[in-house]
Amino acid sequence: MTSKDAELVQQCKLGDISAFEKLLDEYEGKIYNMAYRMLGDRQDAEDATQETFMKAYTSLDGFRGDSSFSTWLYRIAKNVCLDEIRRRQRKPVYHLDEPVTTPTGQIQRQLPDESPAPDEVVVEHEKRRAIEEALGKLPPHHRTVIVLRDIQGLSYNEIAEILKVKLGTVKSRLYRARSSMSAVLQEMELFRRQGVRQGERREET
Amino acid sequence: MNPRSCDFPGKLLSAYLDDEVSEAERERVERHIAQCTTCRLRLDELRGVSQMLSQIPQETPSSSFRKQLRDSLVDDVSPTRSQSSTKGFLSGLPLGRPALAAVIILLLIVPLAALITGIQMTGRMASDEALLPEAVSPYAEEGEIMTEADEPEEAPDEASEEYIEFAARAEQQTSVAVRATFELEVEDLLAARRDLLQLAAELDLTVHEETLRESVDLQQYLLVLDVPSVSDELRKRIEDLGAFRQYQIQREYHPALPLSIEDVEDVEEVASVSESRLEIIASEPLPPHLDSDSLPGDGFWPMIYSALSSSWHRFGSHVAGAVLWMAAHAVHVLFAVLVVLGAYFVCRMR
Repeated sequence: MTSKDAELVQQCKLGDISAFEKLLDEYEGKIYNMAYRMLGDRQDAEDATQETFMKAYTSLDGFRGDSSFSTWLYRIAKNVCLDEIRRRQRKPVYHLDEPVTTPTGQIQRQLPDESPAPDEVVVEHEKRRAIEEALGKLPPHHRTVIVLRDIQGLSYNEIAEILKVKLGTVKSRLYRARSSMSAVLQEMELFRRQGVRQGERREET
Repeated sequence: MNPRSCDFPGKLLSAYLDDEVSEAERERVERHIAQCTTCRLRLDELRGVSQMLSQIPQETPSSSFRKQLRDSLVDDVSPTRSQSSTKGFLSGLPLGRPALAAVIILLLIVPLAALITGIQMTGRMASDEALLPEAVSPYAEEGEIMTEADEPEEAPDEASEEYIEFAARAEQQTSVAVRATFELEVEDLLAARRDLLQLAAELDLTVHEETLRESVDLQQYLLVLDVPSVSDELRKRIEDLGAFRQYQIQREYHPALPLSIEDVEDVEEVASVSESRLEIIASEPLPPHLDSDSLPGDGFWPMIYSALSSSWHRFGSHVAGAVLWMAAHAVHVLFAVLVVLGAYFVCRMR
């Protein structure tokens, strides 16, 4: 572990909260970015980031420094995100295009417009949306490994430590994740080219 | 473009992109892609995905969220941390009470700690004993390396190799039927099944049972094979079907060899799987050097009897361990109690 992190952790353990704030400065961006890519939603990413740091802070005494602080933190974040994904699967899913039933009859769901400012380059934006959509379609354990490697840029060794799996497993899982990502993107591209939107496809079947 | 039209392991291609291959593997990949169009395309495809992902901009948390995060830390968390320090919840009380409280806590904690330590100690002993019957126990140590393989500090691949070796040697020595359970994570269930049947035909294996499981986050292939022996080659061939999630070998005289648990978060799952596979497979006569009395024989009642006796043995030894621990530390405990009581009365007299 980097000596700077180790020192800060030591200070935190002695009750110095400003040391933890320094660790926050260092890692909150990374953890938030990871959570956002895992969960695909800003609010959920914020909640997951908060939960991760809360857990880290309260269980800091149990952190013995066997791995680096960042590995440990990523592991907590991964567990928080996977928990959230599991929770979502239990929650009922609302379809945005479904009408809402109210006492006075059915109305269309009103949603805030979250599209970015018009000055953003449209093509870039389209591409990013496609990637985000494709990421969301990957099974969670594939999403985890691909986010840690290709988005967070961690080494295979670090990933193996975070996921507590063997190096060989990281390799094969990452290969599978990239392959399915590629397949999903190709499929989406195909639909776009044919001018078929997924909504229309659902009506046809 | 069909990625399955070449058998070259894709994980090598993917790792090659990241420069996470050995020198020999790099040469192997480069030699292969020089002559295989399919794999050149696969490599390009993988590279495309990887680059695309690495180019999307970082999402940054909003400044309001960053402030909220810091506030919540100060408000919610720091009081609970400082409470556990010395000037915590006892500070407001009269002088005599802390001593009293300490006595009570001590009286509660000591037997509890004794019980826990006793359980841990005997638990360890029991698990060491349970690992293998006496005659094969020289391997027990190697088995332990294996169970610690999920610690990241160990070189995990090596530990697993050792386990295979250990299992293979133990198996050779006793020459009983072996049943191997592989739990694989596969990308394509049907393709994996096809590959498996091919492999079984080629290596002349009996496929005892196969289960395909598809859940939201996982495609699993549970595969139970009767194998003549556990060789490295077999393991490699099966690994080509999919990533190992776990691996278990069972033998006629001992159903619960240590599991290879790759993924700690799946411990519960592993446990449930191993429990469901505790049946004893058809057997050859036991090797003469094994004491047949201490082993479950064929049939239902011997099995029940052995299960009951082992669980009773464990329970009994937990209690015995706790009592022993308490006895061994009785002097210390008594001394500590006296000191605290003394302190208490001194406080009272002031």
